[in-house]
Amino acid sequence: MIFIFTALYPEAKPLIKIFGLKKRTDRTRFQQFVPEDYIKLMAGDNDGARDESGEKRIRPEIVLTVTGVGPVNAAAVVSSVLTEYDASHSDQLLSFGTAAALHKQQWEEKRETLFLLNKLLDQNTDRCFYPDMLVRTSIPEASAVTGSVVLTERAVRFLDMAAEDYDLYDMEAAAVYQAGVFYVGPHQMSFLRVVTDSGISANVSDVRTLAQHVSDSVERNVEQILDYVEKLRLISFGEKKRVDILGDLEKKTVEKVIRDAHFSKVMQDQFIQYVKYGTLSGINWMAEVEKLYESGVLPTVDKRTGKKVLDVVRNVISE
Amino acid sequence: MGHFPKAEIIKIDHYKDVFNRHRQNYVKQHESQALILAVKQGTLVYPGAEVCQNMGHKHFYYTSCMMNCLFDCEYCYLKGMYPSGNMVIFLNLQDIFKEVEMLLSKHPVYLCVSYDTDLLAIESLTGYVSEWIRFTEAHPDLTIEVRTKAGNIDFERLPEDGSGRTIFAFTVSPDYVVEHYEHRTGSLDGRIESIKRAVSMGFTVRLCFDPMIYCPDWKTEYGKMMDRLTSEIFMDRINDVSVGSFRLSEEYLKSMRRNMPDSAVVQYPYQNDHGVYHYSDKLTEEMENWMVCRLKEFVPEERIFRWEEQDR
Repeated sequence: MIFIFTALYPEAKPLIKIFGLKKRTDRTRFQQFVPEDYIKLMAGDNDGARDESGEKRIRPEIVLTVTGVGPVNAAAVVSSVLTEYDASHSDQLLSFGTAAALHKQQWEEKRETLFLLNKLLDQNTDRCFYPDMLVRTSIPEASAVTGSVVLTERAVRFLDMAAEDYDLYDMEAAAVYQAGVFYVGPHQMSFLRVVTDSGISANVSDVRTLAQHVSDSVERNVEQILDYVEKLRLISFGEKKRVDILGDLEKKTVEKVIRDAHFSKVMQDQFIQYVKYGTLSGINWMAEVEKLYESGVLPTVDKRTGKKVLDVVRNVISE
Repeated sequence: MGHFPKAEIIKIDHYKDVFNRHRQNYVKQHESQALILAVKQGTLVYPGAEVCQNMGHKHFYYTSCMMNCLFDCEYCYLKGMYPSGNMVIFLNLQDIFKEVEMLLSKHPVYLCVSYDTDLLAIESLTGYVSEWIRFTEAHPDLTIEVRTKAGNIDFERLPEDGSGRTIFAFTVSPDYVVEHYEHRTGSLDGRIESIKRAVSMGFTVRLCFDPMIYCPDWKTEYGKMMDRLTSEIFMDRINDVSVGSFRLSEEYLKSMRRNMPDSAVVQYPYQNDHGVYHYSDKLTEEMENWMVCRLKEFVPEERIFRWEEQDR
């Protein structure tokens, strides 16, 4: 599953369009967009979408959330969404948005360019965070300072010296990282920023023009973003597959044997470990289990005879 | 940085800011390792760990001038010990030398310099093995061990070791184990070639059958390996050998099982005794005895070091 977070709707708009996402109308605190299929599935009374407790368990392939501007909004929403969808080891988080170039002399070369952030400085705490750079991409890398206020042209003149080692300024990245790391690792978080300005002049008042400028800047980089999200999707899929060692039939057999052999908790853990190793080593442990059923050893009458079953499986898969 | 002209350089305050982050994934990072250049602080030389062989040396120490390895052995304890799969090279080798000299002022020292890494794998980049050979040559009470799984080592580029106190310890494993579990390491053929070259150039060589890894039909696999080794290498010119089967602390294996759900060698149902995972006593005895018996045909018994219960 891919979690995408943007601060503003104009940043999200081109992505919503290209991924064909629809707004979740049952979410009112912040705007959340998911694939249409998922909305239909959730609207229907589909039993497969619920777990034993009646909670809906199917997760969308992608969720895009508009957090609102600034580190507090970003951290609160990231935390809420990752909790809601129960973020796990196979998920990927993409924080996407716009940023300002910190150094006037680099403004022209960076203008409307997409960057992958490799170092995030929280301006308030002076702490640095480093997402892993594990996705092969041609997107250039940059470092960013995350502040709490909109960068003015005046502030740029100060930061030009005070943050000379940093390239960009944004208002969410470091906060997204700090909230996200409660749920996922640094190898599961990416930060993409399009450079739209080099500090806002104090007299900007035409919000509509500004919003259009942001959307246009994102639109120009949408192919690269799409390509990056596709890579995240493949990583997420690969990771999920890597963890699922046992197929459905094998899982059912494990459950059946545990039940029929009256295994204690410790014996269950041992049996699962034997089965994992057997499967990974290409040993046909299922055939042995079948023999145990045919010869009447399984099902057992109690835990003590269950121990014999455990010994047989251990002997088959190891020594 | 001439070695990596396309590398993106990220300035960091302290290597631990990157290396010790929360919730890292060793396996994922190892697939695309970042190189961290750092200065090591605090204690630089440590007493040898209990699960490691001291090879008969009383004052047994190890040091880490690097953390993590270019090679990718699935069963390697580094995957459970370190929070990160990225590689750290400590640039203040001279500080480590000073600390070793302090120990040498008290007693002789046997020092393993390539435990938490494989220095020879990255020698063309660092030149650290050459530095250690020169340092050892200049300090008569120092013996060092350089452990490796590299093949095709360019021994010609290393300084001569007139003292014989630099021991090149080659871990050798059957083809099956190399192919399935020791990714990116030298092949068995490559390692045999390196051993032959080291012996012919007069370097002191140790063979390490440690860790022995269980695999289906292990006796045939290890048997084929021994046949090749003993037919291609003059075993009488091998300084000593060590034998031990796979063992690992509970804490490390738990972490490795979490990170590597798809690794057979990690998911093997080991036996846990007092916090150390190992093969069953029966299998351990069978594997190690078999190896010691084979070795006795070629190497005097007093030069065979087996990791015994009392070492634990």
